[in-house]
Amino acid sequence: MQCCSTSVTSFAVSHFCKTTCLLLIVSSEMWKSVLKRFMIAQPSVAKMRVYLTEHMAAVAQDNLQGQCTKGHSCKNSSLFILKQLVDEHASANATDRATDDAVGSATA
Amino acid sequence: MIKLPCLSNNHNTQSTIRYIKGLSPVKKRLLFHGNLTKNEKARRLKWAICLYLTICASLSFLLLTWTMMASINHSISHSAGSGGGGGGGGGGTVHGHLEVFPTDEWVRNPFNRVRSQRNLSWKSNDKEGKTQHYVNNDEHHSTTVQPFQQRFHLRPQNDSPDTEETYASGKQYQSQQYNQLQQQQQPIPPELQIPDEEPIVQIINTRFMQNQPDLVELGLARLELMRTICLPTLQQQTSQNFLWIIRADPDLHPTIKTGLLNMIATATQETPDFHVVVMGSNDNPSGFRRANHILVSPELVWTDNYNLLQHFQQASQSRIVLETRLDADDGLHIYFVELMQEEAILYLSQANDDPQTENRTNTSSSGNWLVWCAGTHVEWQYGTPWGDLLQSNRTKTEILLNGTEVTVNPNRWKSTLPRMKQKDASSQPQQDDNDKDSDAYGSLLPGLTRGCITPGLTKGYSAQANFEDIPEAQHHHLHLKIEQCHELKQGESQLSVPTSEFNKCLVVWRRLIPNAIRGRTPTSAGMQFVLGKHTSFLSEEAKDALGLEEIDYKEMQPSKFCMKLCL
Repeated sequence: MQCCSTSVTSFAVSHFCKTTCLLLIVSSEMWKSVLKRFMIAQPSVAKMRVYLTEHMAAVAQDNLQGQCTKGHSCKNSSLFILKQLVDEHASANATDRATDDAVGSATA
Repeated sequence: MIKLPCLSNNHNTQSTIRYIKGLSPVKKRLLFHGNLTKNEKARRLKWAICLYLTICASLSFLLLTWTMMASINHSISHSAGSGGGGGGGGGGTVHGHLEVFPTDEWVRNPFNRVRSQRNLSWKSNDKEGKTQHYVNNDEHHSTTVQPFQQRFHLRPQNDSPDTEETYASGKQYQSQQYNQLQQQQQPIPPELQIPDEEPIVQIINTRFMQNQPDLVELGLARLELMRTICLPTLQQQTSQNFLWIIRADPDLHPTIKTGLLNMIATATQETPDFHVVVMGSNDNPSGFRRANHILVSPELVWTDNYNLLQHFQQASQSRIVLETRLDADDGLHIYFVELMQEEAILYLSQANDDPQTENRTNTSSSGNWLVWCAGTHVEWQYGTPWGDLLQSNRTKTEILLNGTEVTVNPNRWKSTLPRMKQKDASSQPQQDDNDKDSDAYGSLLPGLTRGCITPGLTKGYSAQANFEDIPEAQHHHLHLKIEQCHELKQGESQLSVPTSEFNKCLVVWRRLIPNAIRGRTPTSAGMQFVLGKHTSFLSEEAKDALGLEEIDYKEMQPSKFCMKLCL
């Protein structure tokens, strides 16, 4: 696998890119061994990731509600990230609705 | 109108005052205010009517109450007389009588008047004198009286037991019910039974949506994670000599519950020797050998295999026990069970009492125990650290090699959020296939957590030891509380270390590389690194909130990562 390919040449000299490239290589190599060691199929992981992506807003909202319930952790860091996720999706939804409305009205 | 003689006959003032003092309050009022006005009369009439109605209502209420009590007393004496007179055969009357009773009240208040009278009546007809308690009464009339459990279940969840006696009788009844249910259930198939020669019992405990029964979206997402990561790693274990106990909230939403049970049913059909018990319980008892570990109502075992749970529990009484933790979004190496049991037999078996071990064991009266903690693991992260690199907007750089700091987008970490809203693909620069693939699967990276992690954390104790012997601590504090067994040197194999070194200590397990896989997604309780972002890529605000230390990339060499990888 080519890491830090031509599309990201500008990053080739940065630590960020160096580390990230390393992680990408590591991850790619590790996927090869996951099936052998854990019997986890990569396509099913991709499918699950799609599911999570599609339901991200609701899942994050639920997870936010579930934080600090009995027997579960209650970390400020988790609350912070989950709130950010929920807000991010709320604003993304609002933008999409506005765009759809604009496209709809222009088409009409 | 009252005429005042004092005023008309010119009596002196003193006699007038005496006269006025002698008057009643009403007459005084009339004396100084003259005749009653119409309004005053109307007001007084209203008060009189009100008073009259109140008295009438009170009398009616008292009369009604008295009538009801008399009726109940009559009913009690009648039914008790019938039951006693008929002896054992009089239960039919009792049954009908119970329906008349306010049953929940009857159960809740053991010493109320109604119960006392009923018991006393029965006591006079019982030769053995066992009628002090209504449970015994019911056993006495067991042929016709409603089963105790039906009434026992009427007890409110939060209500404390009426008496110790009631509680004990209830438990006794429950155990009878268990035995009956066990007889009714199908026998355990041979492939699920623990062979007599098997010296070890292993339990894998998984919690699922406990105390979060109604978070449907979260539950379904966790179910998907379990299906993808957790389930296959257990289903494909090379040794199936373990029992997977999943404890979910008893009131779990039907959608999640159905999905969970269907998934497990399919798995057990595919793998006949796969032992799984799913139960509705928010309790997480430790110490499988203890009786209370399985003290749940068989009805709460959703997979209808309570007898399997009992079978394992009985087998644990005389065998080595391993209790392993595994979260629903984590997985274990497929050789995990087999190799851990091999080690446990080696270290925890009493046949292994060499002189050195004996000396160490003598310091304690109990048998040996060990705690295994995953020494290596990988994390599957939903996000990817290289997600930004693959994004179209890549004009911003971070810290260059020469130390120059360039513009950092404070919200950069957000850009690895799922790009589900990028509907218009044409507006984004095209990525090459490798980039697309690497982004689609999330990232799989070496676990960097210090201390013990939850997946694979195992407490093992010999047949002579008890679970209580093992010090209790949270998983991330275990390595601070329990002494590590043996620090393996570079290239040293654990099996080459004398077994005497493995006695009442913590084994940082590195026989399998990696031992476990941890799912890090937005369904996780902890969100650290979930989004695949390194701390350096987080905004300052986020870093402050997270309390994370920035890692110096300049110090980071590929070899360090590769060492942790150990593949």
